[in-house]
Amino acid sequence: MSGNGPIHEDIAEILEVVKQQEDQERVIEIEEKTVQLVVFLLDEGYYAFYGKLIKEIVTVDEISYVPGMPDEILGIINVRGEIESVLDLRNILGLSSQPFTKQSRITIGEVNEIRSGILVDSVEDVLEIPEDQILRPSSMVDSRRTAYIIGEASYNGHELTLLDLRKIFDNLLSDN
Amino acid sequence: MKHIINLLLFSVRNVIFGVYAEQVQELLKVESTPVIGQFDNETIRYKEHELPIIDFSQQLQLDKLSNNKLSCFSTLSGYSKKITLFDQEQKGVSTLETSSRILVTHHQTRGYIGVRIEHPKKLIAISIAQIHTLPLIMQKNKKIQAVWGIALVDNTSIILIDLEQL
Repeated sequence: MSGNGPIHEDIAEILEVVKQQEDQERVIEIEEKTVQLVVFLLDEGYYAFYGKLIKEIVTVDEISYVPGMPDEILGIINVRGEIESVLDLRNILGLSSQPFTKQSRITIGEVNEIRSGILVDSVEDVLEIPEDQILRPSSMVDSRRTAYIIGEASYNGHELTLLDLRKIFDNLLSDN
Repeated sequence: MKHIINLLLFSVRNVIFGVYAEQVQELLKVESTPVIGQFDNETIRYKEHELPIIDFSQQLQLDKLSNNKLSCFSTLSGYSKKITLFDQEQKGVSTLETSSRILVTHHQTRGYIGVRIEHPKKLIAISIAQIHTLPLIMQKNKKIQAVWGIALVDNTSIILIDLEQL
Protein backbone atom coordinates (compact mmCIF):
# COMPACT_ATOMS: atom_id res chain seq x y z
CA MET A 1 0.00 0.00 0.00
CA SER A 2 3.06 2.18 -0.41
CA GLY A 3 1.49 3.79 -3.49
CA ASN A 4 -1.24 5.35 -1.31
CA GLY A 5 0.98 8.23 -0.19
CA PRO A 6 0.01 10.76 -2.90
CA ILE A 7 -3.66 9.66 -2.67
CA HIS A 8 -3.68 10.40 1.05
CA GLU A 9 -2.26 13.80 0.33
CA ASP A 10 -5.00 14.41 -2.24
CA ILE A 11 -7.66 13.32 0.22
CA ALA A 12 -6.19 15.55 2.88
CA GLU A 13 -6.27 18.48 0.46
CA ILE A 14 -9.83 17.68 -0.55
CA LEU A 15 -10.88 17.47 3.10
CA GLU A 16 -9.22 20.78 3.76
CA VAL A 17 -11.11 22.42 0.88
CA VAL A 18 -14.38 20.83 2.01
CA LYS A 19 -13.78 22.03 5.56
CA GLN A 20 -13.10 25.55 4.35
CA GLN A 21 -16.30 25.46 2.28
CA GLU A 22 -18.29 24.27 5.27
CA ASP A 23 -16.80 27.00 7.43
CA GLN A 24 -17.74 29.57 4.79
CA GLU A 25 -21.28 28.22 4.65
CA ARG A 26 -21.49 28.47 8.42
CA VAL A 27 -20.36 32.09 8.20
CA ILE A 28 -23.00 32.74 5.52
CA GLU A 29 -25.64 31.07 7.69
CA ILE A 30 -24.76 33.37 10.55
CA GLU A 31 -24.92 36.35 8.21
CA GLU A 32 -28.32 35.21 6.91
CA LYS A 33 -30.04 35.56 10.28
CA THR A 34 -32.18 38.35 9.02
CA VAL A 35 -35.90 39.01 9.19
CA GLN A 36 -38.18 40.44 6.57
CA LEU A 37 -40.40 43.29 7.72
CA VAL A 38 -43.37 45.02 6.13
CA VAL A 39 -43.04 48.63 7.25
CA PHE A 40 -46.12 50.83 7.43
CA LEU A 41 -47.28 54.16 8.79
CA LEU A 42 -49.96 54.56 11.41
CA ASP A 43 -50.76 57.94 12.94
CA GLU A 44 -47.38 59.24 11.67
CA GLY A 45 -45.49 56.46 13.48
CA TYR A 46 -43.50 53.71 11.76
CA TYR A 47 -44.63 50.17 12.52
CA ALA A 48 -43.90 46.75 11.05
CA PHE A 49 -45.14 43.19 10.89
CA TYR A 50 -42.94 40.18 10.16
CA GLY A 51 -43.00 39.83 6.38
CA LYS A 52 -43.51 36.06 6.51
CA LEU A 53 -46.94 36.65 8.11
CA ILE A 54 -48.15 39.11 5.46
CA LYS A 55 -49.58 37.29 2.46
CA GLU A 56 -50.72 40.23 0.43
CA ILE A 57 -51.05 44.00 0.44
CA VAL A 58 -54.16 45.41 -1.23
CA THR A 59 -55.45 48.88 -1.98
CA VAL A 60 -58.61 49.96 -0.20
CA ASP A 61 -61.41 49.87 -2.73
CA GLU A 62 -64.31 49.45 -0.33
CA ILE A 63 -64.79 48.16 3.20
CA SER A 64 -68.31 46.85 3.74
CA TYR A 65 -69.79 47.48 7.15
CA VAL A 66 -71.05 44.42 9.03
CA PRO A 67 -73.45 45.12 11.92
CA GLY A 68 -72.78 43.88 15.42
CA MET A 69 -68.99 43.79 15.34
CA PRO A 70 -66.73 45.30 18.01
CA ASP A 71 -64.90 48.52 17.18
CA GLU A 72 -61.68 46.62 16.48
CA ILE A 73 -63.29 45.07 13.39
CA LEU A 74 -64.03 47.52 10.59
CA GLY A 75 -65.84 45.22 8.19
CA ILE A 76 -65.13 43.04 5.20
CA ILE A 77 -63.43 43.30 1.83
CA ASN A 78 -63.70 41.21 -1.28
CA VAL A 79 -60.29 40.05 -2.48
CA ARG A 80 -60.76 38.32 -5.84
CA GLY A 81 -63.92 36.58 -4.69
CA GLU A 82 -62.72 35.78 -1.16
CA ILE A 83 -64.11 37.57 1.89
CA GLU A 84 -61.55 38.91 4.37
CA SER A 85 -62.24 40.68 7.65
CA VAL A 86 -60.56 44.06 8.17
CA LEU A 87 -59.16 45.06 11.54
CA ASP A 88 -58.86 48.64 12.74
CA LEU A 89 -55.28 48.71 13.95
CA ARG A 90 -55.65 52.30 15.12
CA ASN A 91 -58.41 51.20 17.49
CA ILE A 92 -56.49 48.12 18.64
CA LEU A 93 -53.46 50.27 19.52
CA GLY A 94 -55.55 52.99 21.15
CA LEU A 95 -54.87 55.59 18.45
CA SER A 96 -57.46 58.05 17.15
CA SER A 97 -59.63 56.83 14.29
CA GLN A 98 -59.47 58.33 10.81
CA PRO A 99 -61.19 57.62 7.48
CA PHE A 100 -59.02 55.85 4.96
CA THR A 101 -57.28 57.72 2.14
CA LYS A 102 -55.79 56.90 -1.26
CA GLN A 103 -52.55 55.94 0.52
CA SER A 104 -54.30 53.51 2.87
CA ARG A 105 -53.60 49.82 2.38
CA ILE A 106 -54.92 46.58 3.78
CA THR A 107 -52.25 44.09 4.70
CA ILE A 108 -53.57 40.52 4.66
CA GLY A 109 -51.99 38.65 7.55
CA GLU A 110 -52.09 34.93 8.30
CA VAL A 111 -51.07 33.21 11.53
CA ASN A 112 -51.87 29.53 12.15
CA GLU A 113 -54.47 29.53 9.37
CA ILE A 114 -56.25 32.56 10.85
CA ARG A 115 -56.40 35.29 8.22
CA SER A 116 -57.49 38.88 8.35
CA GLY A 117 -56.88 42.19 6.70
CA ILE A 118 -55.39 44.99 8.77
CA LEU A 119 -55.97 48.60 7.71
CA VAL A 120 -52.87 50.81 7.81
CA ASP A 121 -52.32 54.44 6.76
CA SER A 122 -49.75 53.49 4.09
CA VAL A 123 -47.22 50.75 3.38
CA GLU A 124 -43.74 52.28 3.26
CA ASP A 125 -41.32 49.42 2.63
CA VAL A 126 -40.61 45.73 2.62
CA LEU A 127 -37.08 45.16 3.91
CA GLU A 128 -34.74 42.67 5.52
CA ILE A 129 -32.79 43.58 8.63
CA PRO A 130 -30.45 41.55 10.83
CA GLU A 131 -32.45 39.98 13.65
CA ASP A 132 -30.13 41.43 16.29
CA GLN A 133 -31.10 44.94 15.24
CA ILE A 134 -34.49 44.38 16.80
CA LEU A 135 -34.24 45.62 20.36
CA ARG A 136 -36.47 45.23 23.38
CA PRO A 137 -39.26 47.80 23.50
CA SER A 138 -38.63 50.84 25.65
CA SER A 139 -40.67 51.14 28.82
CA MET A 140 -42.00 54.54 27.68
CA VAL A 141 -44.54 52.93 25.33
CA ASP A 142 -48.26 53.32 26.08
CA SER A 143 -49.51 50.33 28.08
CA ARG A 144 -52.29 49.41 25.62
CA ARG A 145 -49.70 49.07 22.87
CA THR A 146 -47.08 47.30 24.98
CA ALA A 147 -48.97 44.01 24.80
CA TYR A 148 -48.62 43.92 21.02
CA ILE A 149 -44.99 45.02 20.68
CA ILE A 150 -42.24 42.52 19.91
CA GLY A 151 -39.44 45.05 19.70
CA GLU A 152 -38.07 48.22 18.19
CA ALA A 153 -35.60 48.97 15.44
CA SER A 154 -34.35 51.94 13.49
CA TYR A 155 -35.70 52.74 10.02
CA ASN A 156 -34.17 55.65 8.06
CA GLY A 157 -33.54 57.48 11.31
CA HIS A 158 -37.05 56.82 12.62
CA GLU A 159 -38.11 54.58 15.44
CA LEU A 160 -39.76 51.44 14.05
CA THR A 161 -42.10 49.39 16.24
CA LEU A 162 -42.43 45.70 15.40
CA LEU A 163 -45.93 44.45 16.19
CA ASP A 164 -47.00 40.94 17.19
CA LEU A 165 -49.70 39.90 14.70
CA ARG A 166 -50.20 36.58 16.48
CA LYS A 167 -51.13 38.40 19.70
CA ILE A 168 -53.50 40.73 17.86
CA PHE A 169 -55.33 37.74 16.37
CA ASP A 170 -55.21 35.74 19.63
CA ASN A 171 -56.75 38.62 21.55
CA LEU A 172 -59.65 38.82 19.12
CA LEU A 173 -60.17 35.07 19.23
CA SER A 174 -60.01 34.75 22.99
CA ASP A 175 -63.25 34.41 24.97
CA ASN A 176 -62.62 37.57 27.00
CA MET B 1 -80.16 20.72 -0.61
CA LYS B 2 -81.01 23.65 -2.87
CA HIS B 3 -78.16 24.99 -4.94
CA ILE B 4 -80.00 28.13 -5.95
CA ILE B 5 -81.73 30.28 -3.36
CA ASN B 6 -83.83 33.41 -3.62
CA LEU B 7 -82.80 36.44 -1.63
CA LEU B 8 -84.82 39.56 -0.95
CA LEU B 9 -82.42 42.50 -0.99
CA PHE B 10 -82.89 45.78 0.81
CA SER B 11 -80.63 48.55 2.01
CA VAL B 12 -80.35 50.52 5.20
CA ARG B 13 -77.97 53.48 5.31
CA ASN B 14 -76.18 52.26 2.20
CA VAL B 15 -75.54 48.78 3.64
CA ILE B 16 -77.13 46.02 1.56
CA PHE B 17 -78.88 43.16 3.34
CA GLY B 18 -80.34 39.94 2.02
CA VAL B 19 -82.90 37.64 3.61
CA TYR B 20 -83.79 34.15 2.51
CA ALA B 21 -86.99 34.70 0.53
CA GLU B 22 -88.57 31.51 1.88
CA GLN B 23 -88.59 33.09 5.33
CA VAL B 24 -90.73 35.93 4.00
CA GLN B 25 -94.46 35.24 4.07
CA GLU B 26 -95.54 38.59 2.71
CA LEU B 27 -94.28 42.09 2.08
CA LEU B 28 -96.71 44.74 3.31
CA LYS B 29 -96.61 48.36 2.22
CA VAL B 30 -96.32 50.91 5.03
CA GLU B 31 -98.78 53.76 4.64
CA SER B 32 -97.01 56.17 6.97
CA THR B 33 -93.27 56.07 7.39
CA PRO B 34 -92.27 56.45 11.02
CA VAL B 35 -88.80 57.67 11.94
CA ILE B 36 -86.19 54.92 12.18
CA GLY B 37 -85.96 53.50 15.65
CA GLN B 38 -89.43 54.54 16.81
CA PHE B 39 -91.32 51.60 15.41
CA ASP B 40 -90.42 48.90 17.90
CA ASN B 41 -93.16 47.55 20.17
CA GLU B 42 -95.86 48.62 17.69
CA THR B 43 -98.47 46.29 16.26
CA ILE B 44 -100.57 46.35 13.11
CA ARG B 45 -103.62 44.39 11.99
CA TYR B 46 -102.66 41.43 9.84
CA LYS B 47 -105.18 38.80 8.73
CA GLU B 48 -107.40 39.56 11.73
CA HIS B 49 -104.46 39.27 14.11
CA GLU B 50 -102.28 41.76 15.90
CA LEU B 51 -98.90 41.56 14.20
CA PRO B 52 -96.03 42.69 16.44
CA ILE B 53 -93.55 44.84 14.55
CA ILE B 54 -89.84 44.98 15.13
CA ASP B 55 -87.60 47.58 13.57
CA PHE B 56 -84.76 46.13 11.53
CA SER B 57 -82.50 49.15 12.06
CA GLN B 58 -82.97 48.96 15.80
CA GLN B 59 -82.42 45.22 15.96
CA LEU B 60 -79.14 45.55 14.07
CA GLN B 61 -78.16 48.67 16.01
CA LEU B 62 -77.96 50.63 12.77
CA ASP B 63 -79.90 53.50 14.34
CA LYS B 64 -76.98 54.04 16.73
CA LEU B 65 -74.44 54.05 13.93
CA SER B 66 -73.01 57.54 13.59
CA ASN B 67 -72.63 59.15 10.19
CA ASN B 68 -68.95 59.61 11.05
CA LYS B 69 -68.45 55.88 11.45
CA LEU B 70 -70.40 55.11 8.30
CA SER B 71 -68.39 57.67 6.33
CA CYS B 72 -65.32 55.50 6.98
CA PHE B 73 -66.85 52.99 4.57
CA SER B 74 -67.70 55.29 1.70
CA THR B 75 -65.38 55.15 -1.28
CA LEU B 76 -65.26 56.49 -4.79
CA SER B 77 -66.16 53.20 -6.44
CA GLY B 78 -68.15 51.48 -3.72
CA TYR B 79 -71.31 53.51 -4.07
CA SER B 80 -71.45 53.29 -7.84
CA LYS B 81 -71.06 49.49 -7.63
CA LYS B 82 -74.11 49.24 -5.36
CA ILE B 83 -76.16 51.42 -7.68
CA THR B 84 -75.20 49.12 -10.56
CA LEU B 85 -76.33 46.10 -8.59
CA PHE B 86 -79.74 47.63 -8.03
CA ASP B 87 -80.18 49.13 -11.49
CA GLN B 88 -79.13 46.17 -13.56
CA GLU B 89 -81.98 44.10 -14.91
CA GLN B 90 -80.89 40.48 -14.78
CA LYS B 91 -82.49 37.21 -15.61
CA GLY B 92 -84.36 35.97 -12.56
CA VAL B 93 -84.35 39.38 -10.92
CA SER B 94 -87.47 41.37 -10.20
CA THR B 95 -87.43 44.97 -9.07
CA LEU B 96 -89.57 46.12 -6.16
CA GLU B 97 -90.89 49.53 -5.34
CA THR B 98 -88.49 51.47 -3.18
CA SER B 99 -90.46 52.41 -0.07
CA SER B 100 -90.74 51.24 3.52
CA ARG B 101 -92.23 47.81 3.88
CA ILE B 102 -93.14 45.36 6.59
CA LEU B 103 -91.77 41.99 5.93
CA VAL B 104 -93.97 39.31 7.51
CA THR B 105 -92.15 36.25 8.74
CA HIS B 106 -93.16 33.25 10.79
CA HIS B 107 -91.05 32.88 13.88
CA GLN B 108 -90.90 29.37 15.37
CA THR B 109 -91.52 30.53 18.93
CA ARG B 110 -93.09 33.97 18.50
CA GLY B 111 -95.46 33.17 15.62
CA TYR B 112 -96.01 35.82 12.93
CA ILE B 113 -93.94 38.95 13.31
CA GLY B 114 -93.43 41.97 11.11
CA VAL B 115 -89.99 43.40 10.41
CA ARG B 116 -89.92 46.95 9.19
CA ILE B 117 -87.31 47.50 6.49
CA GLU B 118 -86.40 50.72 4.73
CA HIS B 119 -85.67 50.20 1.05
CA PRO B 120 -86.65 46.85 -0.43
CA LYS B 121 -84.90 46.54 -3.75
CA LYS B 122 -84.90 43.24 -5.51
CA LEU B 123 -85.58 39.58 -5.40
CA ILE B 124 -82.58 37.74 -6.80
CA ALA B 125 -81.67 34.11 -7.35
CA ILE B 126 -78.13 33.24 -6.36
CA SER B 127 -76.04 30.10 -6.30
CA ILE B 128 -74.89 28.85 -2.91
CA ALA B 129 -71.36 29.10 -4.33
CA GLN B 130 -71.81 32.88 -3.99
CA ILE B 131 -72.37 32.56 -0.24
CA HIS B 132 -69.44 32.86 2.16
CA THR B 133 -69.30 32.25 5.89
CA LEU B 134 -68.11 35.11 8.08
CA PRO B 135 -64.32 35.15 8.54
CA LEU B 136 -63.37 33.35 11.77
CA ILE B 137 -62.43 36.51 13.67
CA MET B 138 -65.86 37.97 12.88
CA GLN B 139 -67.70 34.75 13.65
CA LYS B 140 -66.06 34.71 17.07
CA ASN B 141 -66.83 38.37 17.80
CA LYS B 142 -70.28 38.90 16.32
CA LYS B 143 -72.83 40.34 18.73
CA ILE B 144 -75.81 39.87 16.43
CA GLN B 145 -76.58 36.21 15.84
CA ALA B 146 -78.91 36.98 12.94
CA VAL B 147 -75.91 37.84 10.72
CA TRP B 148 -75.09 34.47 9.19
CA GLY B 149 -72.96 35.08 6.12
CA ILE B 150 -72.02 37.18 3.14
CA ALA B 151 -73.20 36.81 -0.45
CA LEU B 152 -71.10 38.21 -3.26
CA VAL B 153 -73.21 39.47 -6.16
CA ASP B 154 -71.51 41.43 -8.95
CA ASN B 155 -68.57 41.98 -6.56
CA THR B 156 -70.87 43.63 -4.04
CA SER B 157 -71.07 42.21 -0.52
CA ILE B 158 -74.55 41.49 0.80
CA ILE B 159 -74.98 40.88 4.53
CA LEU B 160 -77.18 37.81 5.02
CA ILE B 161 -79.73 37.96 7.82
CA ASP B 162 -81.62 35.07 9.38
CA LEU B 163 -85.06 36.47 10.20
CA GLU B 164 -85.63 33.66 12.72
CA GLN B 165 -82.86 35.06 14.89
CA LEU B 166 -83.86 38.70 14.89
